[in-house]
Amino acid sequence: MKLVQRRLFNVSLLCLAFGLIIFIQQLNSYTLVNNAFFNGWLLLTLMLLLYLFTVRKRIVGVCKLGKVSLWMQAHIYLGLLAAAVFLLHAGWQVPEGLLKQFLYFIFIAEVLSGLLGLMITRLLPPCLARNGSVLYQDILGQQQQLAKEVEILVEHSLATTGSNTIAQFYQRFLLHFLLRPRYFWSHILQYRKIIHRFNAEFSHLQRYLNHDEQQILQEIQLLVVEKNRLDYQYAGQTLLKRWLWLHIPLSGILILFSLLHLVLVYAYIGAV
Amino acid sequence: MIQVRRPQRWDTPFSEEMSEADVSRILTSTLFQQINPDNFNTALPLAGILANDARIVRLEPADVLVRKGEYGGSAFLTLQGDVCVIVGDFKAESLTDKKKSWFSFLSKNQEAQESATVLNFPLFNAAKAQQRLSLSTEFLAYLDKHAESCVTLDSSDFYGEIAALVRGSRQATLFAKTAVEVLEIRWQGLRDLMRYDVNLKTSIQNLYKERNLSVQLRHNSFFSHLSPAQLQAVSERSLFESYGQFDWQHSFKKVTDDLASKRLQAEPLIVKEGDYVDGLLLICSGFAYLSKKVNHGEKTIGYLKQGDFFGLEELAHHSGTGEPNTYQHTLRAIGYVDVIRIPTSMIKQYVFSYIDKKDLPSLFRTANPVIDEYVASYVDQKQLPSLLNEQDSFDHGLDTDILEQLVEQRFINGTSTMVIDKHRCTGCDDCVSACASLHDNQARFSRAGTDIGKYSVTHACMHCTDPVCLIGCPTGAIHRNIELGSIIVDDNTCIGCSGCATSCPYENIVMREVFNEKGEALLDEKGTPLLKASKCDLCMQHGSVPACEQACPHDALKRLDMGDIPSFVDWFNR
Repeated sequence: MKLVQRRLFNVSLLCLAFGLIIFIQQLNSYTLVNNAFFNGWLLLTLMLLLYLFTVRKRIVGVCKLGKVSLWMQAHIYLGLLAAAVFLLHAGWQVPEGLLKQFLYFIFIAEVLSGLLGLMITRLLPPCLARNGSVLYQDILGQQQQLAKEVEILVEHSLATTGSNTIAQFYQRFLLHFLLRPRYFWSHILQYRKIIHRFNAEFSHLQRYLNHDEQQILQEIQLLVVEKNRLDYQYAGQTLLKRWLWLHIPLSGILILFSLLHLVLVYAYIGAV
Repeated sequence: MIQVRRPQRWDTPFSEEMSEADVSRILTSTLFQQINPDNFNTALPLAGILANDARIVRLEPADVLVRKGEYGGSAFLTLQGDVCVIVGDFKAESLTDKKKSWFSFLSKNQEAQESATVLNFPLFNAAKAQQRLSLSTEFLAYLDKHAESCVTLDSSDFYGEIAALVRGSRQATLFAKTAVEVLEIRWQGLRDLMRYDVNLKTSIQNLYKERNLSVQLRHNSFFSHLSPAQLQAVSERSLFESYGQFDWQHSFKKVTDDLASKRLQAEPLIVKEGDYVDGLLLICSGFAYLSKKVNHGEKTIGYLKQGDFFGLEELAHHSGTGEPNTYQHTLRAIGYVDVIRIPTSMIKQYVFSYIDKKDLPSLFRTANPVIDEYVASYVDQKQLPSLLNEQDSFDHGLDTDILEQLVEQRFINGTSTMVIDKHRCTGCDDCVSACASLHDNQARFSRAGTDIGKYSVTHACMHCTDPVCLIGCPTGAIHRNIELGSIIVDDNTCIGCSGCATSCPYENIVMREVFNEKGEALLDEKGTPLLKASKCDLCMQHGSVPACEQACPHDALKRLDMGDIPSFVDWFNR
């Protein structure tokens, strides 16, 4: 099945499931079944199913459980279904009461972090691939190597040309930039002003240099462009790894407080 | 750090039971009497090879020596009794065969299935523990009745050499007709016998060519309608040709950094575009490049693998129109290839005469006058590839740039090539972690690799169709799994010589230091760390799908069999 076909199939299944839930709600309205209980239990079941994905990821080498990618698909679409059921359960409004409001906002945050994750895992990899892929664990090493090469070139310019113009430029603009990955959010937001500023500084400096110095500066500029590319890789790959630091803890908190909510609902059921 | 003795080649012999008396007895056999022991290196004496790289296999009547399709790297010599080869394909009728679903008619292997003779009894007796597989009584009776299906092998020559030389699967089932004693010599021994005895090398190579020719023709569905006598006639008139070198990895490594055009030119030429069509070429083993002249260079059109034909369209065109014809593409060996050249007259007499003219393949696409005119009229050659891309995509359904790189880098050799779709890979490293968790916390591959468009072919063992890493192994530690053909390393017999890692053209085998249970590194007498080869084993102990593929949450990683073109094209174009 092609990916587009799979997406269409999953979306159709999702719509069908949501339609079925609405239909059951309608049926419930003709009986004495409380829709809030129906929605609530359904939501809790969905949340537990969604959490099972984390458990599946930790089990390695058991083919019978199916591929993780299959679980991932289920996780995405069950997540969307859970969001829809949540809105039904909350009655499309912010609930009253501190715990319910806390749960409400945690759930919204969880859904938004999930959607953000889905968006960046689909949009960022193609951009990173087009930029020339590099393994995350190699980035810092490669950047250190680049910094060393720039330093050698600067020392070489001092020794051979007798001028300190490039060294001063290095001290003023490049040293801080080369020390470690920089401009994280600029790279994430595809903000290109930084590299343009560097290029402008390089062009500006060129007019004050002789032929030998210009050649050295050109070599340094190439290394700076490469460093900037690695910064982009670092920023993108860091975000791809770190967004889960938000999504997973939130899911834990959500399940914990949902269970508390359940206990309280049943504890005070007589008062309803 | 602990000092231990460095393991040596013959620390673990092929068989513990091989005695000096056995070796002496083997040396008196007709074949070994013709071998001069003085030609051998003192470190690798003839008797030493026999004592350590050979074993005596004793079989009862009906016991199976090797089964068709299983993998093995050893050759055999009958010492006593009769060993028979089963000629033709047989299969036992099963319940599923009786009720054929519509789906079975769409099966790509339908032709192969149809060409097998279906028997309504089991072919083999189920082997119990410590027992050899044997032919069933019914099958033995059938073979007795059909003498043409069972041929007794000449006891003065080696057999099983095809699988040993091409590092592939067994071409036929062999069984003991009487109680037999067979000398089984593993690839390491056979390789050294051939290295030190030129006559034996020539003799084995001739046997290989002669037998492979008849086996390939017999197993090809294209000739399945022919009687044994007709097949014999085709076989006698056909030529078996070999191009390139068995151990092609050395020459490949020398040209990997060259320009694509230079790499292509370096491959051994089989047929040049424009040559007169003198026959049909059947690829017997290995892979062949298919290219077409574009301006001053050559463009990769595709590749041919075992069982594929070259020149069929040209012959059909000639047969259909009577016009003299030339080959429309250039064919080159990719490293090493065996080809059978079947003369035009044989194809006309035994193939085309059985086919209605209208069923012959249509005229080749390059003969399309519209395209030819377009190409000829185009002064700006830079514009040409787009036209040719459209034309080539018709062949494989794969982007030409991707196909070109897969062929030129010889990734097509892989049966389980790890390909990552970089547009879906988030770099989560779940694949690496999954691999490490099943292999003592040491991942058996690196996610880094060669970029081909939006894909990356990683440094993970591809379990090649032609595993050249096996050639130089002194102990047979790196070998094929007998049933699946996957390449695995036996840690117990690996002596850490690095031969396989050096031979792997794709740098997919790494050498790792050896530690004891306490985590201390093991050193040899000179203080050099002991090493073992480490590579992907397809997680064979843990199920049918490798853990890396199982663990990928984004469907970004796939192990692809490059021989199964429709499947991998489907994945690339998903």
